Amino acid sequence: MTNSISNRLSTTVVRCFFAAVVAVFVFGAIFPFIWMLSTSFKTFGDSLKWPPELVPNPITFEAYREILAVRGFYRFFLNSVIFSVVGTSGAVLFSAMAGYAFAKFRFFGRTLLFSIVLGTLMVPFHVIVIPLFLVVRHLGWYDTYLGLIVPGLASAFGIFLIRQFAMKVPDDYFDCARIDGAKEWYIFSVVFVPLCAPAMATLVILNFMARWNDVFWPLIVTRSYLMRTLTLALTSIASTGYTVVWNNLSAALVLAYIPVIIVFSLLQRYFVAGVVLSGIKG
Amino acid sequence: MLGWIAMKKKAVPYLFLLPSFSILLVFVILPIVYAGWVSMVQYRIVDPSASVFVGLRNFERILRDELVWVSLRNTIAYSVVTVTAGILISLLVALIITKRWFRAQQAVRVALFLPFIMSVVMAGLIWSYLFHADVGLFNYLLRVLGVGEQGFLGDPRQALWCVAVMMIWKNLGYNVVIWSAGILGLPQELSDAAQVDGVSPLAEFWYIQLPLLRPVMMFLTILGLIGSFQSFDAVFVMTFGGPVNSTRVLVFHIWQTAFGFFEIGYATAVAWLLFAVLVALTVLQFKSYGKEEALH
Amino acid sequence: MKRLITIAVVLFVATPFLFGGGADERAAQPISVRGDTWSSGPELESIRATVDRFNERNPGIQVSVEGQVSGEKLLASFAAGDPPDFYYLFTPQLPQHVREGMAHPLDAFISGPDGIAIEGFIDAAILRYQEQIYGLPSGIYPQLLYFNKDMFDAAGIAYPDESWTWDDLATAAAELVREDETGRIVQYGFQADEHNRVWYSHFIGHNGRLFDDETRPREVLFNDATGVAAATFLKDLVKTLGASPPPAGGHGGTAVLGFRDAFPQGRVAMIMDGSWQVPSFNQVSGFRFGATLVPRGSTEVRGWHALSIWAMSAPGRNKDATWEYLKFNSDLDAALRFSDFGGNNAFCLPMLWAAYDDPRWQPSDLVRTFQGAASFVGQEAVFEDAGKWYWNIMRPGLQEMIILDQDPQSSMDAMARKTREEILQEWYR
Repeated sequence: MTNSISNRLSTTVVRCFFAAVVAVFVFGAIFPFIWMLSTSFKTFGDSLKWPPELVPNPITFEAYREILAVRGFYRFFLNSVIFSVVGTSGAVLFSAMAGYAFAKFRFFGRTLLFSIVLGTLMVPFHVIVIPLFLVVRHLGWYDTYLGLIVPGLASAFGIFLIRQFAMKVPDDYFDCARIDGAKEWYIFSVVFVPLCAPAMATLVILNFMARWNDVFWPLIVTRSYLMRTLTLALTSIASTGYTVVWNNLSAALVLAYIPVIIVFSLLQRYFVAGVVLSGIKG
Repeated sequence: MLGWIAMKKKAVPYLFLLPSFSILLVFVILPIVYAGWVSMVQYRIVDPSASVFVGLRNFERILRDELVWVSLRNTIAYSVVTVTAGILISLLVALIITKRWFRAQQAVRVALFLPFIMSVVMAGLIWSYLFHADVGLFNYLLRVLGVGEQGFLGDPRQALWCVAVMMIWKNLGYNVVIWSAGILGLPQELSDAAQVDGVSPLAEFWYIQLPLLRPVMMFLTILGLIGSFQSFDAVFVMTFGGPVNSTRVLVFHIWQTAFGFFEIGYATAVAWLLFAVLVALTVLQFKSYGKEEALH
Repeated sequence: MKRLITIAVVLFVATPFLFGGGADERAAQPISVRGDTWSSGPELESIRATVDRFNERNPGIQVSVEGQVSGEKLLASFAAGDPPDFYYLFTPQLPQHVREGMAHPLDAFISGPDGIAIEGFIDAAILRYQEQIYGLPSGIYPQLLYFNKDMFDAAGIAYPDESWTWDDLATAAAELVREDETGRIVQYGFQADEHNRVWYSHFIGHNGRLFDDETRPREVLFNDATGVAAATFLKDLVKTLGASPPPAGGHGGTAVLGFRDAFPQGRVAMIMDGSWQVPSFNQVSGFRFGATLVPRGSTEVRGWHALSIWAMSAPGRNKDATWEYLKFNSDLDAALRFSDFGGNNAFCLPMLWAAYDDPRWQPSDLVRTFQGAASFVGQEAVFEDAGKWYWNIMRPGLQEMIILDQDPQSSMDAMARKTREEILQEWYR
């Protein structure tokens, strides 16, 4: 009897310990952002103060005012939105279509084409960045939205993900629909897409995130000051040479972070890790 | 008439593939081929047709370029540490939060995911500020605790590991989510059977769960290493390759060679080296994890 | 409903094709000339003021200048066939610009019928390479020794002036270190983030020569006694005197407080930096600072001089129009205005000798203390792969020497060896 009580006690103690471990990690995950948030409300001098303070004294909005006053700020925001939203929609749509084809059809060259898709995943972006830039230039898309968005519309990872996920979806749904005489596009949009909703949602989050946070490609392909995306503009606004204005920088980062958080919180319940895992299980 | 319908039917999958593939062809495959040529010439920016063909000389130069090997060494060290530590730590967390007695599983996953969705630049700058040798929080805490202040990003012996810590922190949420899904996907009967048999939790983990989680581990390590090897933004924003080249990673070296010194041909050759390393890594991992987890 | 979603998605995807355009098209008439520069702030404003004056007087040519153009953007614009007509050039990169056919020599314009009197320029202000002139500046930006007046007053030390030697600098720096109650250093005497630049100033101030032939180097000379002495000076400042913080390396001041922040924030008594910093230091309220020449060595040369210089782009299609602007930018009036007539916010000095005798030149107290620098500026060495040499060999080499406490002679020898192997190599060019 005492055995089982002490067992239960030690179990509780152990569980408390593990819960504390997790709590530490959660705190560690959130705290750096809180610290940055706090810095964004400081004056520049305060951001360099020693000892550093968690609560700014005084709390000031001057960093935000300075960042929002940057010429073209709202245009940068718009550019990022266009780049991310259009790019994500297009990439997810095309990936879904391609994944659908690979998963639900048998056709000549299927294995070969899929291997090609996988192969391109291996090649680091920096190998092709200059040639890609030259291609874009040849098309006359340098410094345009087209150049910014179109190259990223083919997502090998997305195709892979959808295909793996779709292979698990029973073929019956589609056969039935075909027997009923439905058109292919109807089958795709009305039957396939909803069935793959978790995969699509996952892709939307990952794609949006990647595009919103992307600095390198917009840096290469845009020339005009007003064509910059938000994250690109912010990284150059906030630091010049040896000077890092920490409070302005923090404000800029907070502002750039908000849209990603919004998108994420809206779609978060659909983000199912099982989707990603379906990529690795047969 | 029937033939026409049959042809239309056959064309369907190709039509669905068309948008992705045409873009892939023009914007990925074509550049890859072009990049093959670029790496074998002395590329002239203003007038590419004036580029001089030099065959494998760019690759030969790699062999003698000390900085390439420094970069590769840094990249390997950084990647191994980041991926290994990241996977192990996240596994620990995932094991805890997937236990039946743990209530706040979804909340924890969401909280841990917040660092993952920010840009690397943002995470890098946040941690630069924390690691800041003069005004950073960490040095202040270290001083208060009586341990000496550290150079962190300014110390060549510490800088790379500070960057690694940032990256581990950032990817933790994603890794935990993947591990959780894997663990939750394990058949419940095994766990029940283990409890009935009186197997200790540790043994249950080591002998039952872990082998079944191999595919997940493989997935995380392969993708993790591929990603780590291409790391650039973190170093660019936190240390710019310094101090004393201690955080110079391969992609940084490629970037500097191309955009700093305008040696596009040579930089592309080094990029192909990166590609070769990635392929070798992936093949090695597939071999070591065994053929059972092929992707079909 | 599904149909609606499909339509919406298709519309979304089609958006870039509808709004494909980027920045506005430029008018065909008059000739438009574009300049790119990395500048921002007061310097960019001065540039734009010159541009505005030019545009007023030359309605047939309209010049525009774009600021904050990064290296990637500049390269990309050349690669895209859309290069600027003139651009700010970073001196050590000139050889690679010439190699890639980006920069165009100006000799034909200078000595042509519509030329300028190049002799009127301070010699160090001209960017020469392989016997041709590639750049003309808007002003001279000498390296200066900045000092915090309050700290000197508090310590009872006389302000630095033109007569200071490097030893004077070291002595004063050692005396200006302050700690707080916990023993933490809250004030350093001197901070040199750009170690290779301070080293170079010391080196050329003592008659050092980098190579046998600066433009076509064959032999490395900088690991001789002069070079080692310069390196030892830097190391002593940190290690022996404790007057300087250890170098952090990197860039952008993310790891430690950069010297351009530490100085106005009152963390360090002296720094060495270019004259372009003056306006930003002026902006810090309540900050009393002075500036003087780089300390004296054994020769008259005082510090390197950062050539922020305009180069003409070779693929540009409007070279004559561009030259009109560069010529306008090079005359006495432009030179004086660009240097704010010596006003307190002058961030550079005029590059024409005649400017200093002109009655319009009214140097403020601050500028008066450093205007002598114009006569003594040294020049950054320009040779193939100079950028690589500065960034990848000298800077990390010197920082490594200090951080890892290496012997200066062997450090310099190691840098010399790397230079021989990587910079002087010809086989892969």
